[in-house]
Amino acid sequence: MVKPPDDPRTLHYLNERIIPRNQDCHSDKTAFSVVGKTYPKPDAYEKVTGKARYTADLKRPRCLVGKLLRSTHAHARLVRVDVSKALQIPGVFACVSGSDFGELIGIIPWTKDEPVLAKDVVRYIGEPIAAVAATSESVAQQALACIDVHYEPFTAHFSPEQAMVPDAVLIHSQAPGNASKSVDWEFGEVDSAFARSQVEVSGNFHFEATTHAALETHAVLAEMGADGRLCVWSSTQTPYYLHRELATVLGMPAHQIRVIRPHIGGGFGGKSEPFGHEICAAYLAKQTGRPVKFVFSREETFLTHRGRHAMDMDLRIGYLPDEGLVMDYQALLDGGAYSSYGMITTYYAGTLNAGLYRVPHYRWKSQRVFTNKPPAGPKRGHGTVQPRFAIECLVDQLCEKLGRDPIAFRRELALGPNTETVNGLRIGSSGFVTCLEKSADQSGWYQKFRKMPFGHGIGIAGSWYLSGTNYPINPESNPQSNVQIKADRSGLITLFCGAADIGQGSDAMLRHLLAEELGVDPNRCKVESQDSDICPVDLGSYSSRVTLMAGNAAISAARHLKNQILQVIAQDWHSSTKQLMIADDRVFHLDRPEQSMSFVTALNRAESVLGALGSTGSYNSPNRGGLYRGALVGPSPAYSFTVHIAELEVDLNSGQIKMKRIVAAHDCGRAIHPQLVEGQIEGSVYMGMGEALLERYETAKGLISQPNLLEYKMPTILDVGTIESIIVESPDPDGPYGAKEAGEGPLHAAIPAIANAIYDAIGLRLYQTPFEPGQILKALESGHCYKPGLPRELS
Amino acid sequence: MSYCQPTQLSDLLSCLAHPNARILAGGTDLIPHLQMGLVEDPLLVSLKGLPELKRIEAKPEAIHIGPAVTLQTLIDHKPLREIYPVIGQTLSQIGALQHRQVGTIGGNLCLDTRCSWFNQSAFWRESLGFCLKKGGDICQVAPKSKRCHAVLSCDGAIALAACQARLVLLSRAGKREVSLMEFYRPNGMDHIDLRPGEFIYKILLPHAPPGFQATYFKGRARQSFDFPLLGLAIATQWDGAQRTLSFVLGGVESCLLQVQMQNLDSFLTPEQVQSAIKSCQRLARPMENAFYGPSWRKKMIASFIAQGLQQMNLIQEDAP
Ligand SMILES: Cc1cc2nc3c(=O)[nH]c(=O)nc-3n(C[C@H](O)[C@H](O)[C@H](O)COP(=O)(O)OP(=O)(O)OC[C@H]3O[C@@H](n4cnc5c(N)ncnc54)[C@H](O)[C@@H]3O)c2cc1C
Ligand code: SF4
Repeated sequence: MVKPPDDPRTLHYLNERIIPRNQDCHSDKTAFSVVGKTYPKPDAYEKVTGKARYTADLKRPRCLVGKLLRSTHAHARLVRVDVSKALQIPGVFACVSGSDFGELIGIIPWTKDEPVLAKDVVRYIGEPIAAVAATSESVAQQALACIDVHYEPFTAHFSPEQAMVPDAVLIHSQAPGNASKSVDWEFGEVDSAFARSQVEVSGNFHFEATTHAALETHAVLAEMGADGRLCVWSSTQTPYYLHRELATVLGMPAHQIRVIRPHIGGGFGGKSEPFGHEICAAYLAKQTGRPVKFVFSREETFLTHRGRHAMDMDLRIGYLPDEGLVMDYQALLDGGAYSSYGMITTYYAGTLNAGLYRVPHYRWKSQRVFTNKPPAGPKRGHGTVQPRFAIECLVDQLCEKLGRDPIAFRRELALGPNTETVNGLRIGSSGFVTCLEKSADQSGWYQKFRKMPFGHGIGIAGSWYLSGTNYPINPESNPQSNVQIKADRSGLITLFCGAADIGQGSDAMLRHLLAEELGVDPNRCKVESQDSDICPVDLGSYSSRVTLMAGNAAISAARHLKNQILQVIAQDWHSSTKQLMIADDRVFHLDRPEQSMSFVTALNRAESVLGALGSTGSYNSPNRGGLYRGALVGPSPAYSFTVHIAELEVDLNSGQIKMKRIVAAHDCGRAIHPQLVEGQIEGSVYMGMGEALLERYETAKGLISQPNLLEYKMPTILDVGTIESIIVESPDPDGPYGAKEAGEGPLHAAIPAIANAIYDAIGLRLYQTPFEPGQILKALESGHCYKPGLPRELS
Repeated sequence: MSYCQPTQLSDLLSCLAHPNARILAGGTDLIPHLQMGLVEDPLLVSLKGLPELKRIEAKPEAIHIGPAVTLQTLIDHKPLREIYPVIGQTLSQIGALQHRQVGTIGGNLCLDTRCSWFNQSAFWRESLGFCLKKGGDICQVAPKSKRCHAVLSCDGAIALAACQARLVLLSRAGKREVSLMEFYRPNGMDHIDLRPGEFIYKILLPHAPPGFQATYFKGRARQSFDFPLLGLAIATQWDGAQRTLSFVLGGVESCLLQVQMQNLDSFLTPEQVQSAIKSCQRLARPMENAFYGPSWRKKMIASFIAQGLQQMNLIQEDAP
């Protein structure tokens, strides 16, 4: 006899919540058999053996090579784009330019301002002007060289300051002053709070632009079927938005379009909007009747950019012992030539500042400006990494002025669970204080802070992040995520969901939830997520939304299926479904230990009674958020929390930083698949370190100076020291089994933690990323460096 | 583009006589150049068919190193490691393991000079303007300059020069021998003294002189993968009862730079240390054409010299 596991009816349920529960959320389970265990990712074997096929690997018969001609001018009128000579070259099947497309594209419905191919004006070096489809790479290159382009240069703006001078030439005629988006908020009483504050700190910070360097560059393949349907394979984080954009721009009914997302070699936000090359591939495939494939070089991927906005930030923080902090914050965002996600970025940058700590008085002004550079966009931690850097550096300064320990001070200021920020963000669970405690213990904080020799430092920073947003990009009333499940008499359970696994492991996460909810072995569960023809819509992998949204939808669907099966068996066993449970691949009767049945037998029995077995589930986000302009951008069903403690050594000879370790504690609510959570923490910390120490999307006359992986300096494994991740679980009522995000939130704190550790090492405050050896060496030479906490003459 | 793989030395020399001939050794520098359109329509002459160019031989007068010996082979070569540890120390800081396993020492010595305006795609250079070194008529880094300031970036040359290596150059016109220091010239467009049809046939390393000791420092942004932003080799030996010191610098000019000090005692005085630093800094002309700017690179000269002399025990511990 197989022993039934613990009776789930005796398990205690989470019920301390004050926030009304969303009916699509499933946090009501606390004992697990699959969740919390690590299984190999379903795609692991394919990937490590090299069998996984990415878009660039796909082969279709008679496929043409697509190539883009790119602007060599940062800002110019396109007087002429003549493709006629290119079309005469043997092997060239089609060549199109801006005049072939009417619609502008863009991810945000209100700011569609980007042409598929530049028409009339080019706005950055590298902007696509024409596209060719030819029999080979060399013929395509030859064709591009024959396209006759005549430019009439305008003044180009390479910084927001240049673009904002009165009477500056406009980059978009509809954007006076080259303003892309501005936000102006005030909550509480900022000025009077400053007047009352005990201590004040302030600083001007600059966060350098950084870009994406996912292993896989952009790639797309498009083909028209004999049935008149279009199929597009693309390396995209947002297949659904691509689907919509293709229908709109090509004027095709959406049901005639199929979007397939093959394996993706990383996204990080760089592939989360529809791009001109994707539309071109489809258009050229339609025109030529042959498949067309574009694969970008690394340089082209760098030109496509959508990386982190460079941000200038003026921040002033005051401390009010009984209330918390007052914050007056201004930010100037260098947006590049198009909107991309910029509208959201400009809001996001302000949204999360009034949380994490108690900030009852908060003023935020942000301005995004168009410049003649590749468009900035959403990079991991979208819009919030830069402002968090400045806040955490100033909080460190506050602690010093107040003579407070940075951990105790943060604990005192922390906004706890079941609270609301002054700008209306409602926090469910929070493990921030646990993150502080665990990271302090593991790093030996109390033995090290202000106690190590000159040159050695330790620093701390915190952050928080959203798990998707309550309001999707497209204002539509359909669910944000949908799941269908098919249960087969073979015992195979297949879950269909359009959630884009971009390498982060959302397929593994969905499989885990499905197996957990059904009580079966994950190896009998399969996730299909690549093909829009068979997978119901999920909005995509951005804003850290997938685990929470698709996860909840998956549990809903699995629960429906389980109920169907149990109802049949309950009838057979003359009992109620409440007395039955499925665990370890068997159905058990909780009160009759001798009665059990294999899951597959139960499945077959259910099918024989009910016919085909299947179920669906959806996730709709709660309508929460404040009532001010912009209040709908940013509120999330649940927030993750992070603490980083960085330990490093400043090389006093070179000013270079030797990272020793970063201890990163992250509260992801519930670690559904712990190894994937650790992977996300490590990746985020690594990325943060790169931005802190090395990376800069530096442009000369609008063109990136280092468009390759040799000169765009991402850290190597030798540069990062050790990364120790600590998973903290504070189940959130809105998360699937309490889970929140883990994909972006663990990044932010790395940068200020490193800055604060440098201060602990040599008494130098840094206000600008990356923290380059030149500025550090200069400070060391100037003799102004010292060991904080010690009298200067002793250090 | 065409390709040949001669199996006789005489055939190799005939191939090299072709005006567009380019030796393809490991290809770790040449192939990226081809991809970026920096080398056009070459006749690629492979060294693969000539095993004699891959030999390391200890002869009475010198150690002979074939140009096609890979960097990793040199690093792993035990006798060499014992005589000249500085060579392995230096070569193991070149690129990453993959580069060292295919990259050759001949290719390293003939590595093209580097510049952030030059090592770019044709599209990039067209957009921002071509330069003297390829296709243009001004230097983008120093617009008033008549010459190119692209940087000598081969770590190997710096260490080998400190070991007083010499090169045997061979062409159909004959053989000649030059010192490594003489091999390089201060013009990034034409920085090596190779005559038409000539190639590096051999590298000659003298047996180590008495009391020889050397070390190498590399300034770079990351601990792997990166070309030198500054390379400094320090070598010392006894000339009778007097010490000689030599500082060889790379990564801060289009050629190698050298400062020598003679008639020294066992230890250097603080004034002598300062004088060495000043002389090296005076010679170096780093430009705004690499990842970190000139000021840091110049400062690092001082820092490397101070650290190096200390490591080599050339500064008295209790010196003021
Ligand atoms: C990412 C990356 C990082 C790198 N980092 C470094 C670094 O840190 N330090 C460094 O020094 N190098 C670095 N390199 C450059 C290179 O890998 C090495 O210098 C290597 O030793 C070059 O040798 P090769 O055989 O590959 O040269 P090749 O590319 O085959 O040749 C280079 C040049 O030398 C010529 N040549 C080759 N052999 C001879 C000969 N016998 N006589 C005359 N001419 C000859 C070729 O015609 C060509 O012009 C790096 C390269 C890459 C791609
Ligand atoms: S130093 Fe001047 S001439 Fe030489 S490669 Fe650079 S820009 Fe061109």
